[in-house]
Amino acid sequence: MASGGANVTGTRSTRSLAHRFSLCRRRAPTFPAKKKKLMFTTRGDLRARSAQEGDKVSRSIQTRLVHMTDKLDDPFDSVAPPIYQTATFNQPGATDFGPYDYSRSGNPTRTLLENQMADSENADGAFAFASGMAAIATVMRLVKPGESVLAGNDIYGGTQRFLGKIAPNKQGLHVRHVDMTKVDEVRAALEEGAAEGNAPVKLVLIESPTNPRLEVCDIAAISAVAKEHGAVVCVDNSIMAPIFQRPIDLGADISMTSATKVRRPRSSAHSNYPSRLTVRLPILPAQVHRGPL
Amino acid sequence: MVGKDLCDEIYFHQNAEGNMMSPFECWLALRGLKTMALRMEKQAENAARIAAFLEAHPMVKRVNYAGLASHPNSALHASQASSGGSIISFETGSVEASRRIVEDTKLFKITVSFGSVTSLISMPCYMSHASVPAEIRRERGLVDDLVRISAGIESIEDLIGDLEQAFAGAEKAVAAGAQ
Repeated sequence: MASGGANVTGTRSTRSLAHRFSLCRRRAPTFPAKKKKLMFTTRGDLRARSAQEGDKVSRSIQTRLVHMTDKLDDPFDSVAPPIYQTATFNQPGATDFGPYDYSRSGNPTRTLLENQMADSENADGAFAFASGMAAIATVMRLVKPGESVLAGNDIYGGTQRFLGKIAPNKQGLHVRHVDMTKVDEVRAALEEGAAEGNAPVKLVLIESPTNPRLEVCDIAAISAVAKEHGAVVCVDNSIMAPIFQRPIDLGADISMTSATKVRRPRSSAHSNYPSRLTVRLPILPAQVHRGPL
Repeated sequence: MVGKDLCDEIYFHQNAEGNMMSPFECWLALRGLKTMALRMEKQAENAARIAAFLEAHPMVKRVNYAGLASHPNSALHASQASSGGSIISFETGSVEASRRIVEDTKLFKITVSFGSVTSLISMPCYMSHASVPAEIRRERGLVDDLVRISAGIESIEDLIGDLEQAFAGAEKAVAAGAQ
């Protein structure tokens, strides 16, 4: 289902889409006629385009944030992107999938944000979560029962609560804290985990600077030693954000940035939780995330 | 697990468990992103000035700010980040003095979170980090009198002026209490 049916370009697709946008008089709207032509350019397309337009990707982050990475195929060409406030998307046919089907699985407004964040972080994929703890909880899914998570000892209180109460008691994970400012302590914990009969470390959680004592950890050195042991490195980059620090460039696998910082005001809806995080991971074409799984 | 496999795994869980950001929130974030650099640069500029003010103040025992030359890892930080950022924390050695400083400021909102355009002030052990058990906080050197500031985008003269009056009030209150 993931790819087979979607290659068919039935006339129903073209007719129904054209009908929906019949109010557009300024110019003929363009619609995705084939599956390949999604509503968003892919990062591969971006690279090709940047080669044509001069090296756009090399522009500074300040400029790239104002001039969005992706453009919607919008018949009205609005400057602020539309909000696709919908749960469902009509499909070209019963066995043909359009680019989106259900907003939990993918939504065009979310894709715009995710691609913009991936671009800011020099990553190839991004995910926007409902809250920072939702992002942390999902990253914790990378670790299986009996395996181990390594974290610092000056970390956000919500992360500490998850690591102290949920990970060991509900998920069967081993949690170990070290002084993350000391790479030797990180290496020793990884080596100990790798020893016969011990719980191998599969995830290393870093904050730098840490919250609230602003300690600084060596992201590149920790990432290098973690890779030797096959552990995923996740940096909670909320204090610096990609404006000031880009962990993926330093060798980390995942970088998180709080969206309460991105968005501007404090969040009233989540007054007890400071963060909404996006997780970014390298080496991924964005459209992979839209296929039905 | 790296690269595409890692992404597939994260996407699988996000889709299966349904913890994604809503379209309206995404739109707000997209709008916010356009001015994010501008806001963070101003916040960081203000934070550096506040850190310098705190470092020079006799009531302050210790200042934590990644952009200060006195930070033990300032060189490492400078090698991996382009700014000290907008968050500062400091110790006064007295929970009462810290509480008075936090409560006597007029421009700093007493709240968890950070990164707002409004300057924020908090005592982490009683607020954002209250969920960390007290014995673990002690073990890790997270002291109760720690104050965290998130610098906003207000005029720096107004922010320093506000901190000056709050420190002066706290100093008097603590001196009166000691008598």
